[in-house]
Amino acid sequence: MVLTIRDVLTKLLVDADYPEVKREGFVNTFYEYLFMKLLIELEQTDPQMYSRLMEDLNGKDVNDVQIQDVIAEVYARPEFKDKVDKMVTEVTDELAGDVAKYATDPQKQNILKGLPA
Amino acid sequence: MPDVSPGAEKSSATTSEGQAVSKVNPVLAPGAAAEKRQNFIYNILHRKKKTDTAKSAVPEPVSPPAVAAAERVEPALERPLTPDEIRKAELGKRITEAGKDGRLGVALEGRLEDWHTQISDWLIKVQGVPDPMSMRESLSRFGQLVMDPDLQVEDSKRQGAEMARDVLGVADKLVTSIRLRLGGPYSKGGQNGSDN
Repeated sequence: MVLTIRDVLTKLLVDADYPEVKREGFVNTFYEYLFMKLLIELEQTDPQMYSRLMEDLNGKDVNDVQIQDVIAEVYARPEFKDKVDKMVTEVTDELAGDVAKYATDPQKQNILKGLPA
Repeated sequence: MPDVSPGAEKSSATTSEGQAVSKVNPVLAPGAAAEKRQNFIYNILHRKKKTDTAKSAVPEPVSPPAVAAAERVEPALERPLTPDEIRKAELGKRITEAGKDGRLGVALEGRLEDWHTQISDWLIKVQGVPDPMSMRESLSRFGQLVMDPDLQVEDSKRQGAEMARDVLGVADKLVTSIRLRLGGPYSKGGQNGSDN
C-alpha cells in the first residue's frame, strides 16, 4: 500500500479527533513548512539556485515543471541530499514524537493499523 | 656514643647526674628486632606519604590565563535566550501542557502553531518577498507538488512530474518515524505498549 503524505497526515488527524474543518489547513501547513525548510537548506548549499527559485516562487508565471526540475536536480547532489534527508527526518521525528507521547493506546493502535507495513 | 643512624627519633633527656643524653627510640636502638625496625620505618614513610596526598588536595592557585578563560566562558552561559530558543521552550511547555492525558489533537494544534510561527518569521526575514500571502500559497502549492505530486492530477500529466515524484521520500520517512516510535507490541497484534 502506497500512501501519500496527505493520506498519512489525514489518518493521523482523524485518529487524533482533530477537527475536520482544520485538517486541510494542517496538511497544507505541513507542505509549507517542509518546503520552507527545503529552501533554507538550499540557501546554505547553493545560494544562486536558491535566489533563482525564490524569484520563481514570487513570480506570477510560476512554471511547475521548472520548480520540480530544480528540486530534483539539487536533490541529486549528495551533499544536499544528506542535509535534506536529515531535515525531513527531524520534522517527521518531531511529529511522530508527539504521537508517541500524547496518543492514547487505542489511538496508537488505530494509527498503526492504518499504516503500510 | 650517640646514635646518629638515619630515622632515629631523638629527644633530650637528662641522667640522674644531670648529664644530657640522647634518648633513642628503643625500636631503632642497636640490637632491636630488625622486623620491628622495618615496620617502624615503613609506618613513618607511609605517614609522610599520606601527608603529601592531603597537601595535594589543597587547590592550586589559579593562573591568570585560566581566570581569564573562565571569565570569557561565563558570559556565554548567562547570555539571554535567542527568540528561537524562547519559541522552542514555549512550544515545548505548551505541547506538554496540552498533551497531558493523551490529548493528541491538542498537542498537534500546538505543533501546527509552531510551524505557522516559523513560517511567518522566515517570511519576515526573507528579503524581497512582495506578497507574503502569495508566497505562502506558493510554498504550499510547491510543497505538495514536490512531496505529493500524485495529488495534483493536472500537474502529474505534465512532463517532469514523474521525475519529481516522491523525490524527497517524505511519506516513507513519516511512516517509518511513526512506526519506529510506536513499533514493538503494536505491530504484532495491537497489544498495549509504552509511550516511547
